[in-house]
Amino acid sequence: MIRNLSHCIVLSLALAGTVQAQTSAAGAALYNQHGCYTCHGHQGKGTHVERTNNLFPAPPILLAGKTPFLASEEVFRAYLRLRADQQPPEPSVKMPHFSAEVLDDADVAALYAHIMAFPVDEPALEDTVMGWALDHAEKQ
Amino acid sequence: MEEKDGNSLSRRGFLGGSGAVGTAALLGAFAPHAAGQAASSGASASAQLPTAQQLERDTAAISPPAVTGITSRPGSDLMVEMLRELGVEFVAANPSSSFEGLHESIINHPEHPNRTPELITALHEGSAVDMAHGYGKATGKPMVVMLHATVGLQNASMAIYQAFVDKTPIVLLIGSDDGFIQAHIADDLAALVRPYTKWDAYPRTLPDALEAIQEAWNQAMTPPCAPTLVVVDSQLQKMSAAGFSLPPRRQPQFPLISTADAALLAERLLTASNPRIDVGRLRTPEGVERAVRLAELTGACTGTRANQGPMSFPQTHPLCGPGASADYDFVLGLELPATHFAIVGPDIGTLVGRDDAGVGLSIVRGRSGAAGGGAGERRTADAEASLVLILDAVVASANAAGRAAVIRERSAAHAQANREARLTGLRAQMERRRRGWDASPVNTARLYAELWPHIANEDWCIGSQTNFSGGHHADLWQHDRPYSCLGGSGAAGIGYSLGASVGAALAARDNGRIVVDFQGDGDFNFMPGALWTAAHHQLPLLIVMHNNRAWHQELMFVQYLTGARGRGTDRAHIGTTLRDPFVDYRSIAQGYGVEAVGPISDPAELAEAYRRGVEVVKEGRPFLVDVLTQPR
Repeated sequence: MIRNLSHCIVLSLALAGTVQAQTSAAGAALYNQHGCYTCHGHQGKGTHVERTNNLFPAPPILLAGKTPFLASEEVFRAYLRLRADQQPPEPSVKMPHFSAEVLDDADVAALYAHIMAFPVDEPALEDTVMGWALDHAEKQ
Repeated sequence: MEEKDGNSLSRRGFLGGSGAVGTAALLGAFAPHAAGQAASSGASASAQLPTAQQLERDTAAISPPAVTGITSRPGSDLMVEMLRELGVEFVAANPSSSFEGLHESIINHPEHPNRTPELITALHEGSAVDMAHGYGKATGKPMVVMLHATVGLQNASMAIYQAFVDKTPIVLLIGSDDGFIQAHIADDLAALVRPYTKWDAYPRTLPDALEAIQEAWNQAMTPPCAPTLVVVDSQLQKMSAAGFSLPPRRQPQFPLISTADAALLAERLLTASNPRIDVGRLRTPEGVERAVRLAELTGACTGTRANQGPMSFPQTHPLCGPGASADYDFVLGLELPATHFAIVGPDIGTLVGRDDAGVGLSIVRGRSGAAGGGAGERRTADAEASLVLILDAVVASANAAGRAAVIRERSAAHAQANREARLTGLRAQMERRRRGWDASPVNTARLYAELWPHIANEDWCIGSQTNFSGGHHADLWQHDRPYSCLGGSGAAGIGYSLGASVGAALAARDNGRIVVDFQGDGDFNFMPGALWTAAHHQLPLLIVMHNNRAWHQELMFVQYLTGARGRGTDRAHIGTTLRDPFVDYRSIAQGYGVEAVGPISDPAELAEAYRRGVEVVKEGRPFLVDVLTQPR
């Protein structure tokens, strides 16, 4: 019995992992297909455009735990669906909205799971080549 | 003497009078179209079909060029000697029958065959002009480009336009021959690009042609610096130069401030308690040296644009920065507006008299802020040339000695404050750029940061525009030479960066300098043939492909609009991306004879690729690193 139960648990965990992987893969595909990466970067780190203007916006970084509209899947879905700041349609200054016809609930769930899985940590400055560059500048 | 079909008199008709006419008398005779002059009637090429002889001449390649007589010293030899006298190092061209005389004289001149000037082979006329654009910004002097009649000139037109907007000196020699097919002939070739060139001439005699070439050089060099153009008829190139000689050298004349203004500025800089000099884009490295000397003599802290474009104040000079106090009581602008006094050269707005199409006017309107800013006095003069007068006045001033201790003290205070500001700013910029450090594809900040250790201690130059790849060098690197950063394309046209970087590499080739091209993939595909020029001429050029597989800005435009219209963004990639198939830049480079690695998507692989690239470039060969990047 215990053995059967443990088999069930293992099977459930494996299935959950498979579902998670499928969700993540589907989310990655949607993230690419709908061009989320064009502003937010391939891992949600944003783009490195330091001098912003209408042509070069600085969009929010997608950071689990810190980006307000990622607070929950429900909040995220509402954010995608209910944005009403699309007029006048000046290119590239605002995020597009996504209706249920474009991204249904399952799509939103997959997309949310993908975004929430983005790595958050960054290496310390001294652990990157920029640490060398800083030393170099200090010696000048 | 044959007449051109449909015209009462061919251009060759004018050449009959090409005898030994006095040079001085000819200055007004070569029909220049200077600023403010009304343009002559436009091109009058008719729609007649080419004759069999014309087609044979230009397309069948079965007849050698028509030679009216073997001459040991053709007119084109003298033209090449004129270029040498002017200091022309390179002439870029895609070969053409209309300037075959000049071509042959460059490569076979009896005294200096293919040396000063050296012929640079371009695979497209636009590339040739882009090369001259990059070279002109790196050196401050013109390179010459030879173009073939209507078709070559029009191929080059966009690159000419960019150089014009970017105020870069270039001399264009346009070959012309009545023997061509009709579509290559025009009575007024320069009309095709007159709205965005500074000066042009169509000389009818050999002495006129020599004078015109010299004047084109001088005009290109004087502010507003810009491309100039001379139509060089093939008959002038092939006629005998016996009895002719080079005209006397005339130096360019630069507009200066008055000596009274120079004395006033010297006194203000010396006696102010906290003077500042804001340095924009001067013309040549000599101008930068003068600005440095003025700052050092007066102890003024300085502002620079060296991380945005060429010929500005060295970024890590001790006096460069905000200084010990931002409470400046006298600010001098050199090619920049300023609070108290500015010396700014005439802008291309002064050339609108050549501009029936309103092209220049639109550029001037776009620059109204820069042209009109600054509340202080302003002199329309060349800052670089005027610096000589100011330096003389500073040295001669009694206050120079009397204020020596004060100047020494404030210089030391500025040096310390500027260093602290620089290091604080650098660390802050680096912290911002840690974001996404390990991301794959490679983030654009890391694209720049990983290269820095490999070139920081080298003599380097960024030949390309960098705005589409984030321009991270501006905040992460130190730009200390007049050519460290050559800036943007001028008119934001695409296809500029590779050719311009090749031109910068020509300027670098004999100086142990490394040129870096942060090359957008969309931009690259306009004129990739410049890679072959880099390989053929063994140029020290490192090409870093910012390969985001898109014309990314346009992708974002379309994406936004699809979203705004509520129709989904999932097809925004159509027409805006380079996928299905992906472009294999390593193979393209190798096909043109350029060593290459990539595509690299793991940022950990960048350092080794750059190390290898710099090693190859220092051996005098171009190298391409294809990097898959984040979009921006």
